Amino acid sequence: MVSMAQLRELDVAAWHNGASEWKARYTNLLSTVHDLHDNVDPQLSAGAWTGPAGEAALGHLRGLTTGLEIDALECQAVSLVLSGLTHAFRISQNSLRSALGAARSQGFPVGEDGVVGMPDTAMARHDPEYAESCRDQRALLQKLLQQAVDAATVADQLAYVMLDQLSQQTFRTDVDAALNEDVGMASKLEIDLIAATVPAGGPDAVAAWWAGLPPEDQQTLRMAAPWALENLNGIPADVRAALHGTGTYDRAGAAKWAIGHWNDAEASYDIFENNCTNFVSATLAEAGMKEQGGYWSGDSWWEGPQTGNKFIDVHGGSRSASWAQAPESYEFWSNHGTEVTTDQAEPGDIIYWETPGAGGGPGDVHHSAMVTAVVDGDIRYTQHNIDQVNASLGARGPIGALDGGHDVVHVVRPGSDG
Amino acid sequence: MGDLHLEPEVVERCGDRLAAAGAAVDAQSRSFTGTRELAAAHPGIASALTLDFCRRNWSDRIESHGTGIRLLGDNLHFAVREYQAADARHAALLRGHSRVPGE
Repeated sequence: MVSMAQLRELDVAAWHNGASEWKARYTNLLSTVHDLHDNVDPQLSAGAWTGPAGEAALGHLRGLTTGLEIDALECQAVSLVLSGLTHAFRISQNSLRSALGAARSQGFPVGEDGVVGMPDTAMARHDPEYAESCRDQRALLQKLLQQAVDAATVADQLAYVMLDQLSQQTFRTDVDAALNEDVGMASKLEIDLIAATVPAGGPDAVAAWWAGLPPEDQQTLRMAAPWALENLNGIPADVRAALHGTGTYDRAGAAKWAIGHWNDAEASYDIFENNCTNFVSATLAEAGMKEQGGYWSGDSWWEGPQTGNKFIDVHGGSRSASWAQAPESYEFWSNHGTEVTTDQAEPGDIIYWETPGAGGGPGDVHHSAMVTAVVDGDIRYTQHNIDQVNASLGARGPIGALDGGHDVVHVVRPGSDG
Repeated sequence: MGDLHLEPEVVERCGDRLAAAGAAVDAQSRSFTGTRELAAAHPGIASALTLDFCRRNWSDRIESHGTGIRLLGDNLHFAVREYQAADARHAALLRGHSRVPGE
């Protein structure tokens, strides 16, 4: 458990440096992996050294390259956990400092054990009405202090469990497992750590907590966990409205729904072998996006009842192509929304991957997912079938490049009215 | 021996590259100063303690990979020397000598 004194004195910059250090290990090790992969392996595999010894050397090189790639990924996983912890500790510490500042300015003493006392004034001792208001205020301050300490404790415990797990992964031999399980769960945890700083107190405590946060912390929370704030009593109405967005489409609600259903088994939208775009459309619909057009319209986004006839259901009889197929979805939402840069991405946007066409020709949009969070400029997306929740675009991109992937990413902000 | 073929210059360069890569990886395994300081400065924080275990375990594994890469580079250099020596020996034998001149 983190004590009030520990949280107050915590060196947040040191945690940030720790996260940066592990991220640098990831970057530098991955650079060596690229070097071995791109410059040494091709020379040996092209026949520079043949025969049993040469083949053994090549096999050994590949084993070492894979091992090093896993090292890089595990360092990335640790850095993601530390990044989330840094945010959580900073937000908690700022909440605590705000509460301590308020207590000091209002004359409420706070012991080292974190207990808030009554002001030692004649008025507080002799005026029953004033004493009653002081008790209410003391209770609020105590709640704010406790919220901050609790948030730091929860973050510490969650990070402890994950770091303990990562410390024991040194037997890993499978790159995909390191990426999808360890980096994937660390990326998810980073968001969870930030979201865990949002208190569940009453409206007064929430309002005081929010008002006491620096703008950069408020922005971190808006982008990482909008769904935790949108319906929380005490968060200012203008903030909640911005998180929702204009029109019927609830942007924060979309992120929440996607995060809640990313790995549903036998979901209603599991129609095809790959339902990534079906999942995106289901998310939009669940978040209030209105269907557009119908069967006879060439520019539509809709889903009708399933006929039960697989041929009809799979071949466009029950939904528009834009509902279930990535290229058509990209085309539809680009025309009924706005394509933004990756720097401008926000939760509630749609992200598409396109393999560029040869010689600058038309590319192939082959995958889509929901943007469910953004942390320090890194897009986190959630997808179905190749199940991922709050996966880090920044963490996965360089690994994809190692395998020869050079996809272009598009981020589209769907228009609320379709 | 029919399948054996070695291009000394290429394999030598690969060996050089592996030696440099191994050294770079070794350096990565040692440079966790910030993490050590972080753990030392937060003795009562559970995640700081576990982070230090992470550092030790992964530092060891990274170092072992650095060593492995460097050794592979050494082996490539060794193979080139051996190949060149064997080539010279065979050439000498083919010229009628019983041993390589200078050996």
